[in-house]
Amino acid sequence: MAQIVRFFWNGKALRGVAGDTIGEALYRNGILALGRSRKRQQPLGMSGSTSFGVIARVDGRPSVRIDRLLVQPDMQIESQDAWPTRSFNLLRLARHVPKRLLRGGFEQTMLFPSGTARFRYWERFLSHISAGGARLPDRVLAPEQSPARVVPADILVIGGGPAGIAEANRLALAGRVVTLVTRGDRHARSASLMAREVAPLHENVTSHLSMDVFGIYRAGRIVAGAPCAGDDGVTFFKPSSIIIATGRFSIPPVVPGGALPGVLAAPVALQLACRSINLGRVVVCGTGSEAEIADRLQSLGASVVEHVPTATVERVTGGNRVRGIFSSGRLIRCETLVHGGPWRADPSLEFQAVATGTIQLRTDPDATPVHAVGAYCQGSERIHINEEHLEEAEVCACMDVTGGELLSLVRNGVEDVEVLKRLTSCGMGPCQGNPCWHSMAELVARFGVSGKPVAMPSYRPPRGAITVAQAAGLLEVASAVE
Amino acid sequence: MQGSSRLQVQLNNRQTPPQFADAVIIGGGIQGLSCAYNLASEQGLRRVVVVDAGYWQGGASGRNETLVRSGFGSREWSEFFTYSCREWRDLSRRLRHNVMYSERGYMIVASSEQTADSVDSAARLHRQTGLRGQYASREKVERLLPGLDQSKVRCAYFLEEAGVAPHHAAMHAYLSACQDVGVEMIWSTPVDAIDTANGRVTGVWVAGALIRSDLVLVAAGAGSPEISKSVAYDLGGSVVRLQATALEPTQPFVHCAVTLLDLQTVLHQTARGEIVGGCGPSTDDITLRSDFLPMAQSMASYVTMFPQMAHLRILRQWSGLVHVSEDYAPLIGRCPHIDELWISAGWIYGHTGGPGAGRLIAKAMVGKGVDPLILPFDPDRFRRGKAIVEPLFIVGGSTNKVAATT
Repeated sequence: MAQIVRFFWNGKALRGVAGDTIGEALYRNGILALGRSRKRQQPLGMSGSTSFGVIARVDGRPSVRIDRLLVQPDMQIESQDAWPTRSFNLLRLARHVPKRLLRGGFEQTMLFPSGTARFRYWERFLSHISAGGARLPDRVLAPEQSPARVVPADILVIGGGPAGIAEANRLALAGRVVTLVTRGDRHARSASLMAREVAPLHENVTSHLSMDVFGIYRAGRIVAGAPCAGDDGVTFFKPSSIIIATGRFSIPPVVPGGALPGVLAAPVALQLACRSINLGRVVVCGTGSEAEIADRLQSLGASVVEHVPTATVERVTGGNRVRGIFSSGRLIRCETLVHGGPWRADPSLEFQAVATGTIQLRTDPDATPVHAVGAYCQGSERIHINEEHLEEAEVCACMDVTGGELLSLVRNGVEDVEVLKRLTSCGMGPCQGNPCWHSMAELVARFGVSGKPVAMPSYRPPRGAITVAQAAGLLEVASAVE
Repeated sequence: MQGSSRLQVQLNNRQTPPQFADAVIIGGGIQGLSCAYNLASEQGLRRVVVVDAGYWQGGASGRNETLVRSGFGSREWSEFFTYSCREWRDLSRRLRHNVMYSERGYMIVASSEQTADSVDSAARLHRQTGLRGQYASREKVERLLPGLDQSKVRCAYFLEEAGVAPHHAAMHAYLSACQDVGVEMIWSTPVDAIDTANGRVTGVWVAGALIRSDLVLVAAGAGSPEISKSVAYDLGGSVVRLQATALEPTQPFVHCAVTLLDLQTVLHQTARGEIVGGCGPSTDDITLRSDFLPMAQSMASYVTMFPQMAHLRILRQWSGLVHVSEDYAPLIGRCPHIDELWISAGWIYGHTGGPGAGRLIAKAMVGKGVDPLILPFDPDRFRRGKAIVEPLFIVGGSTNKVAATT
């Protein structure tokens, strides 16, 4: 019998199951809308795609990633989507502002030019609403510095899926000293969610679980990993070679409502189903693997009503959570939309290892290419863009950048993704461009007229992986890595 | 608000260089756009062309910490930057686009006797020059910086005529204003060389073609030394890399811009709630890559002075390249051996100085005289033994070692 854990959400007592993350425990209670987008204050939830939906105040600490932290007895969890108070929430007003008015630098409106008294009030108001409800803790709850450590590594495999394990095992059998780092709390987490058999990791491979590799510095000589949760310091690796095996992730459908709570990336949906959390009626969309994902969800007890190709999805309906989807002009009622594709690799780490430049960071043609294995190497799948529904489609859910906003710029010849990013703030939220830059680049490739290849904007770590205290703790090891 | 489609056309990469121009500005950063705007508006030049090797906001003008500051430790710096601060105050009205200059003030925090002394001498200078600055009481510091550990503060000095202006707003306003007055802007197009004849500038070579012009400004940020070499002029100084970080958004708790003199750190909180601050300059790797060490140094400074910040997450870190002159002061004026070739280079406080410098240099370029405010920054000053000693400035993490020891 599973052990019940009592915790508090906005002051209200709820029950979770021991071993749930906070996000899972809330989902179990039917609480899906956890955060709000920056401008329009649209509801966002645990999705496996954007991070605005999974940050909340936990025991007085702001902006905790609640999809990574296990729920504990009597934990106080508060949403950060209200200001100044939950009962008098001015942020909600923003939901009634038309999308067009919030385009681009909505801060720069000439209704409130600087140099006037009304600007002062506007700016003050703006700084409250655009910051969301995150407040600093009243007292210091963590160490001021979390000291980093340097661990030796010859070959460093990043990613603990089947491909990473196979490569680590192969090298270990060949007598190499191998270290494997994975974000998962166990090896081959996603594969086991799909009930796939994966060989165990060779006993000679040193492994680091629940570690997020966030940065590669000094042209690939230093790799930095941080604990997925908690205040422990950063781990620095100085490998002689790096193998990227981080696999691919699914891009949410670029349609209106595509960021509503209840739109889940396949691994998140599978994990929720594994923990016997009710997903309601489920529709699975994908780029080939939808039937397999649907079968697996069904066998885990979820009620899958249909699976459809992602390209047929036109719109997701619902106010605070998914209520249905339109696929090929037909409404399918459901409470959850699971997406398994289009699949894309996150090029951030590879970019950091090989990028150079003085005008723009670009892949250095002279750099030693980073070795990669598995699904990461399988190339980018096309992201389906439905032109008819593009105007209101969510591209960057955190900053409320729609397809219509990007399209109006691209159609007028603005095709540089760096400029698009600066004009729209696409990817400037807590996810720092993952997944929205993929959709933005696809949009440029599809509608741009220059025909030039479309690169990604520069990736800028640490993308929220470390705190100020953890970064300060890097000073301890600075001399050791010179 | 959504930009007009005309504006968007100015940002595309399909512009072809014209055959001639009344003035060519090399560099589309804040210096270049500010000067171009003033040439085309106040000075009435008809055909002003801006050429930039990169994309709009791709250089230091789109990567800086957005601080606007008036008071420094030297008369030359303080007088010029105070002028530019006053330009900022009125800039939205002048440009007819919102630059979002937030005159929220600037707190200079000294933690040791040595830095407190340098603040004292700056304060005396500011009184003489009529600059609005004052020592801040403990209550005022508590009100503006509630998270600051005041046990580590020896003295705090507050500049009223200072604050922040987000570069995305400022650069957007300049771009739009330039568009409004007919400035042509060509992006992602490097300049090959400056064309000269008989000691006079005659044009600029761009993408294999010559734009003929008898008036040219070099305002290319980190690229200025290289471009000046094409006319055999050595700007001196060096190119350095500066690094900055942004923390995740929180409700406002840093209500003014801050310099921590002893820790050589600057920071402020943006209207989006992010704490943006500067990491130290380095010369080890002159690329836009970032390194963990400057990030670690500035984060250690943050927690020393603002312990509550320990919990906040770091969203991103980025680098920018700037050209610094031999005395760290900007180089503003004419190129000594080529007529009608003008320089606006060596900028570290380029964001602060852009509105002022652009206006004054535009006036000088059309023959209305070099303003006394920019005269001390003449690019040729070192040959005449007139380097400027500035004892109080901070470069996103480092005081001027040269000047501080003199």
